[in-house]
Amino acid sequence: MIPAARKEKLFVEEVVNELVVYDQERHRAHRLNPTAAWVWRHCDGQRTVGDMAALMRQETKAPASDDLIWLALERLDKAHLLESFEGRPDSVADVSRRQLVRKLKVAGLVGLLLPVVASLVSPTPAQAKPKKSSE
Amino acid sequence: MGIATLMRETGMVVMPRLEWSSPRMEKLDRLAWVAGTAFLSYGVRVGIRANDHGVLEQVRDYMPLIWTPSSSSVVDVLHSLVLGNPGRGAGKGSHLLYSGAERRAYSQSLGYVLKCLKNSVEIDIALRAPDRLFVHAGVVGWQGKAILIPGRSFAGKTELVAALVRAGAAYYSDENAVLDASGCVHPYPVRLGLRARNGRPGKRFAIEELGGHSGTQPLEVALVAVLKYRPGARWRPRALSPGEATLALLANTVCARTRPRFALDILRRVAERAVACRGDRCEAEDMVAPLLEQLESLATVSDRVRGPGPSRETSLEGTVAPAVSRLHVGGGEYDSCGAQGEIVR
Repeated sequence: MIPAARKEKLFVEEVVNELVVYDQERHRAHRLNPTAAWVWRHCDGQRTVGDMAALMRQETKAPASDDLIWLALERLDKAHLLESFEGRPDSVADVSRRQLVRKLKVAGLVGLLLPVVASLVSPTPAQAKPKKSSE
Repeated sequence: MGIATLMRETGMVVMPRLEWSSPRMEKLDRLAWVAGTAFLSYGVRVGIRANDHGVLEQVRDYMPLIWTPSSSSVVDVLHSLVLGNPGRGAGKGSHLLYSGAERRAYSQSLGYVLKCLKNSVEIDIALRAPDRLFVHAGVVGWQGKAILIPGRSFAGKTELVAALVRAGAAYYSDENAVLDASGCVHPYPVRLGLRARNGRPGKRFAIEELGGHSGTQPLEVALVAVLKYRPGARWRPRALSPGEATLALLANTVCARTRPRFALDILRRVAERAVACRGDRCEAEDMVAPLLEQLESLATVSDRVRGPGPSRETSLEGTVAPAVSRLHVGGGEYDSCGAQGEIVR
């Protein structure tokens, strides 16, 4: 399973250490926290999940595991930000978000390493500027 | 001076028209237009025409206060008001409003149609302003910095802006934050429309009637406060990361769908410089002191937090071990995660 990030019809804006990605096809905006942003940037269609976890450990000195990368990929896929993603193969144990949170909590890193992809449906002009009164 | 008065006094009668046409537009053009005007607001040429001489004078209360007359009859957006004749039987008494060839309102109440005209003009300006970004928000200035309160209608922005102005803040807008390319906010003065207790629209006030004054200079945004009114709420705001703040602002940006790249570029600049928080708020009067007292200190904290280094951090390095500090906002306390550096208070 080699994930590749979607590139087309997306606007990407770096906001300090996060990414805000605007999907022109679906008119949705996504905020990727640093972990999710790192994973998304490294989905080049060549690296495996194991490669990414190793690279994250090396680059950031963070205790990144395959499970963390899988969770980030699942969230990115749900936001339609991946070109190709087939989900975890059967051979890989499905570690739930809760289990991962527990592991990270033990290491004191839950708020820092847990990948977050927050999405927003972009408003239409009328939604952003609704009528002040109705009749 | 009203638009119709200006036309009369200058002898300037402009019957506006669009550069383009369509079969529907041609059909509309053939109606008997007797009054019209064209003006320029935030770089957008706006035209209004009507089949009645008197109605343009009434339009005045519903227009943006910042505009200049345009001598050209060619406009970017054209609004057509077709006033009905109540004496001419069923259906003939209704008033119609068109934006281009699209019908925007149909009602027997002229007041309602004029309010729709106001909204329509504002949306069209917000969508087309070449170098300004319109975010639905209340804005006030305080000691050279701006507080921006994004939110949709019924969020209580106007009440909060009015309370802040009564406390001495400079009024910028209770409807739109007008941001330039550098992220500074410009005045967008309109008459404040305070709601009655039942939520219905109330009287519209000029800011001077509230004892306030308007800001004139562009200001840097120091605080973005995403507030939700909840009766009896305790003010315990949560800090928003710059990314969260960007998304919160985008949710209230008029041209978010039509010009997302333009919008995101400006919103990023705002979010990177300002401190942002989200929380439930109580009554507007009780929020004034917490917001104003902390604005300056928050801005100082923000400077210290971000430090002098590059604002764009692309690796995870800066966030693996960030400072998790506590900011105090008006008696509330919240964590600030993901920021680099220590906050010393």
